[in-house]
Amino acid sequence: MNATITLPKMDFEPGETISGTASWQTTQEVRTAEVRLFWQTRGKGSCDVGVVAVQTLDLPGQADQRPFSFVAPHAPPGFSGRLISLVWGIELVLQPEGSVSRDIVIAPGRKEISLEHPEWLEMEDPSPTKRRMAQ
Amino acid sequence: MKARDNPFRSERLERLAYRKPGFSWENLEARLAAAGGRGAIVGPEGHGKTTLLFEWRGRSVAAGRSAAWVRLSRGQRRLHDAQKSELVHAEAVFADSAEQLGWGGWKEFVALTRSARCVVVTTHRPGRFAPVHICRTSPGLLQELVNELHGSANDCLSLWQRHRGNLRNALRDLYDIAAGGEDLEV
Repeated sequence: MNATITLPKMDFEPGETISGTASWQTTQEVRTAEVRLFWQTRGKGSCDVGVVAVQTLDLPGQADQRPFSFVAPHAPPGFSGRLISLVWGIELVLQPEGSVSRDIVIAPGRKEISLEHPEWLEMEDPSPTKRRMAQ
Repeated sequence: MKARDNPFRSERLERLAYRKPGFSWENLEARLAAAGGRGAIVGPEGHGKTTLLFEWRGRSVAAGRSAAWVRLSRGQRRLHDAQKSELVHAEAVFADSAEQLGWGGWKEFVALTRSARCVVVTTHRPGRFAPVHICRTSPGLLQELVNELHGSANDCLSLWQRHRGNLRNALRDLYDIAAGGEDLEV
């Protein structure tokens, strides 16, 4: 199987549209084809996976190219520490041939949150009074 | 080092295939058939029993059999109701850590799996079903896995000895060493 996921960029703001193209060439007939937006944890413990959106590609050919589009969810944001990382990804699944995936970043500022250098902890959270005044 | 870049992260460990010098699926399945379709994979903790059992289940599913997977947790003397219903109609049953079941729980397990074509369990010691495979590790095996995961050729003898052959714990140690950014001299 020769399959690729093409994306114009690899890092996204929550709420931003993720558009790309899935293309493939297979040796046998493709029964089903779908593109998934998912997250997974990687690290010392067991892996958790969450598939948040699936796009089914109708009538897939053996050699084909299809556009796909998702809206980047607001949570969970991509992050990384020494013990655990949460990584977002796009996966192309072709039955019965197999799958390919690409890692992407979905996080505020398009930057994976670092648990080792947690600048986000230092960001000032406005007090309820300031928040009300700002509204 | 970030967890997602750690060469010893669990996601990569789970992809390691079971291996032992002289091991073959044909011999293993022949031994199970000779034991009447009931057998035990025996070995201490961290010696590859669960890895082998999980791969065996995968082979059964690929062969088109309905396969049930049951994992007994520490101190679980009896099967849960959900586990019982999983077992009843399965053609192949794979039970991890069967030694946890008490005598009554084991009798119940045997009764529930009576109609299954094959039942394989893992245990730390012989005594339930007939052993069809003994899992053993060696410093050379640990070395091979480390080479595969990290590409390094360090001598793993002391690490293997420190963990008494428990490869799971040895590889967790290596995860921590890599996470701390230390040189992987083991």
